[in-house]
Amino acid sequence: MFQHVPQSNDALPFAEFSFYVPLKLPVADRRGGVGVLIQQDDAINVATNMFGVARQDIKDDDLGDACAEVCNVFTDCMATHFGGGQQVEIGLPRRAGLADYQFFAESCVTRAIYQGCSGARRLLIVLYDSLRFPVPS
Amino acid sequence: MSATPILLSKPLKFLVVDDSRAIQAIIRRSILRCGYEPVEVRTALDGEQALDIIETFVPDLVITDWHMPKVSGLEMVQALRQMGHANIRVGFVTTEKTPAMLDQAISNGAMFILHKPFNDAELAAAVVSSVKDLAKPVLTQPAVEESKDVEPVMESSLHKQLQATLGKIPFRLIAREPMTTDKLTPNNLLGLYVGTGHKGVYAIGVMDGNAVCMVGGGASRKLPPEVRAAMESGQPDESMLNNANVFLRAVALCMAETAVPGPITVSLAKASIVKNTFAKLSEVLAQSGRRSDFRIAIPGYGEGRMAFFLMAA
Repeated sequence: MFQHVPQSNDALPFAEFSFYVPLKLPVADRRGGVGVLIQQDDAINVATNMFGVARQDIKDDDLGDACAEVCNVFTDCMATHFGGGQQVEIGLPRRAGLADYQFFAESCVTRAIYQGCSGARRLLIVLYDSLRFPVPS
Repeated sequence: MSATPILLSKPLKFLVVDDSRAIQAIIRRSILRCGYEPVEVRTALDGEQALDIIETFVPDLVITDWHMPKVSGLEMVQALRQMGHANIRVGFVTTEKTPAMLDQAISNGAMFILHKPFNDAELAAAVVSSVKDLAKPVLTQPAVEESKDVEPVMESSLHKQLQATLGKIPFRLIAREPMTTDKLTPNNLLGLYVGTGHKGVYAIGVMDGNAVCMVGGGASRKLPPEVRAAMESGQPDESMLNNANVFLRAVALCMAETAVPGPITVSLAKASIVKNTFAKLSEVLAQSGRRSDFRIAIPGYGEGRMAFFLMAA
């Protein structure tokens, strides 16, 4: 179950697996993206389920692969929100790197954050949007 | 899905194309869950790699993602068709939902489009539905069981009949996609067939409203906007309806070919428009065997469905 998180100035919590899918709304030349922040334990659970292997048999590459696919699926749901019914071009998932964070910082505003909690663990989904399209009041 | 393995006389071959190894693993698991033995499953990380593999390994079914680096799933399938692999069956497992894109997949012969996230059972069901006619068991089924699986209209026969009706209009015929009540259009054309030596109705044919407009309109050489308008309004014009009737009559020849024991003469006794709420129609569509289901896609027109059912003697 995911819940909407009210906007705040707090930094997002650190997650070992941060993945990002770029979005583009061609009609408005608008860019954004969906980030998914997954903690190590959740990444292992996801990967063991998807690959159908035991926890000890999961490799680092498998964790990244599984989390990228999770990001892909969540992005599909969020893209509708981003496009408001217009056709959205969805990119391929990639591990969020320095260049992505730079892009978020310089060109993006956080449109929405959703979180799923299990005990102390949190999985966050973040919708980034272009700064040129401020959050509607 | 299948507790006891279905032993095949030759291996069923699958190619799984996805840039996620995790999804590859899930799809492989679903294929194995179908219970066919032996099967060969190969994997590719993108469309380009898939096309390379197909040069030496011709699969019975390709299950592919849509969005991948280098060559997308749709581009790969289009290339496959251009290379002359018209018979390789394809199913998509994707997050893509854009109707225009999905139409392109259907036009290129996609047998199923499954949206992520999906569960193993859903995919296994789609796989079985796509390859069940290719899966020839080692052991011969008892005669009674065989008769239950008789298909009243063979895909190849119907294909020929459609070619004769549509002339040079390109179309794609996809077999074994069950017509169900929820897929019916508000108005549908119902044909009743009689056969020599059979009491009562020998078979029933159903064309949904879209198929009537497409096949009837194609036979009249109608332009795509005219056909689409008729499909949207659910009102085929007189020439569409007449030609759809002629087509149903011609399908009787296909039925005569498959009659067991044959040969017999099959003819169309009556055809009429019925509402999707017609109770008898639901009964017929619920029939589990002795049926042939088809989806037809015509670029520019759209897609429609038709199905043929043998009635109990």
